[in-house]
Amino acid sequence: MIDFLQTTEGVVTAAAAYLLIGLGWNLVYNTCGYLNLAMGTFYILGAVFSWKLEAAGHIHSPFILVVLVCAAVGAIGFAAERLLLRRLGGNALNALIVTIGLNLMLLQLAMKLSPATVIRPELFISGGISPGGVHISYQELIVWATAAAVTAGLFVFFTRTDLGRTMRACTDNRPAAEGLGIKVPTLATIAFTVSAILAALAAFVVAPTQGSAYNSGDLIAIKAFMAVSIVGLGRNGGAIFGAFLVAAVEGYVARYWNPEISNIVVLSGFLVVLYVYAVRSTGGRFVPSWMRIRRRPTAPQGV
Amino acid sequence: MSSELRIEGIVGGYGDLTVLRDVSFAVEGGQLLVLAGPNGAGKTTLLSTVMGALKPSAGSVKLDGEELLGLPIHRRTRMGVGLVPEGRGLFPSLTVWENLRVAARAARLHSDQAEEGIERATAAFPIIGERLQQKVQSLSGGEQQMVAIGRALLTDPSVLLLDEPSMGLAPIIWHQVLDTCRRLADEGRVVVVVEQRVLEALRVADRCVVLQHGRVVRDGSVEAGSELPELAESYFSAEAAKP
Repeated sequence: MIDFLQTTEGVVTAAAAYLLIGLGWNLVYNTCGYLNLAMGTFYILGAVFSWKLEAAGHIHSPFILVVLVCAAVGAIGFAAERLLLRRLGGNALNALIVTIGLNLMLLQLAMKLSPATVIRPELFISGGISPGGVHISYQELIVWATAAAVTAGLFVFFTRTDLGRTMRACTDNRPAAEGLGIKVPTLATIAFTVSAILAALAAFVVAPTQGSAYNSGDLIAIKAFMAVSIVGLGRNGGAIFGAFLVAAVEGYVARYWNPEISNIVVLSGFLVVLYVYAVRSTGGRFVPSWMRIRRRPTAPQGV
Repeated sequence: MSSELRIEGIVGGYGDLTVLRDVSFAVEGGQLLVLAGPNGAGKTTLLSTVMGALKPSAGSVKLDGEELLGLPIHRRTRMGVGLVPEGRGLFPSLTVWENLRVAARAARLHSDQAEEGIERATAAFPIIGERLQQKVQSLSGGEQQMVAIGRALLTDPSVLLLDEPSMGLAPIIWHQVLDTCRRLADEGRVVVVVEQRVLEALRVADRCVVLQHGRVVRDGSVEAGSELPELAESYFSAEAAKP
């Protein structure tokens, strides 16, 4: 039983990390209308900057460090959106391609800044608690608390603030928002920058618990993408469920079946998610005719 | 509230495509003007130009003598131009209150002004007041149209532009919307209605301007409906004029 609970504790930590990055996926998708494929590298840059700043040895306060790391990665996100993505005029396919290029560029930056194969920033605080024999480190508690605070903060932001409501309005009906005079490109810049900051924040709290290689960001980002797309891309409530589901499959398969195939199992799930999206977006053309769902004709709109 | 909207020599369209060719007319407060014409005549383009979504290459749009061209949309909204766009332009997953609030903030209204505007909208359409916390997607077509008009009333506009307000509405609701437009004009506003169901719209109108190929081909008053068959026969089809 203790073993199961200890595994579950690891699952919660992984879910918190996927949730933090996944919320960034959602934010960009909802406001900008495209996917940011550089999310994983923003995460890695957060880890690399944390490690570099710590290694420089001048700053010891995690509170100052987190501000610096988030500001640095946020500035890169801001510049990328303003200089590259805004010029595309909302074309989702072009944006997707540009974020792939951005990912490759930033990966080179991460490689240059990261001399070690695996970097592991120092824990903010060592030690932990052991309720019922299950060990939970303080750092993991910080990860959980960060994910909970960010999720709650975004919920409040989107439902209680004018800026948040305006961002939701853009998701709902972008042409109508533009017709009201809402500056949608400015909101897109804010969303992209905040998503980069979320990835950096995730790295800042998670990297000390597990370490990161400069090229490991894409795998984490893909798992986070799976988490947010299981219930439906763009839904933050669904992202919580998805994050726990992906982390649970990964964690329990690794512990009770075979640690070497846990990623294969999770990525197989990713293929299923992609297949479902392909089926949806093509109206079922990838599906044999006998498997297609017959839809009733919808009633004409009116009162 | 008595204003004048003056459109003079507007030439414009989408990029290199010229849709409006020297469009000029003026509407005074208290008048309900129906802007009619076949598809592609430039009706929606003209409203978009007045509202600021499109930039014309020539001409001027003045509200009470003040030039609107060159001003951003939110400035025009605050100066007193309200638009109910084609298809209503609402945000379906937001509540009615959120829809109104987003529009108020887009017009750069302060929080208290926004609340005042929402009160104005709910006073004009009490049904909106009862549905404030309901998501727009759960409302009927008629209620959604009321939200769209109520949203345009947030800034207490002196000019109200409605683009195809009959879209998706049952006849009885459409007639209610028309009566509302008449009431808003009677309060001293300039009301411009772009409409395909023109014969019904002319029932409550004071004037009718007909656009064809981006030009004004008819501009005249509607006297007790006497000209309706003539209008229909001249500019749409002879069949439409038959009872």
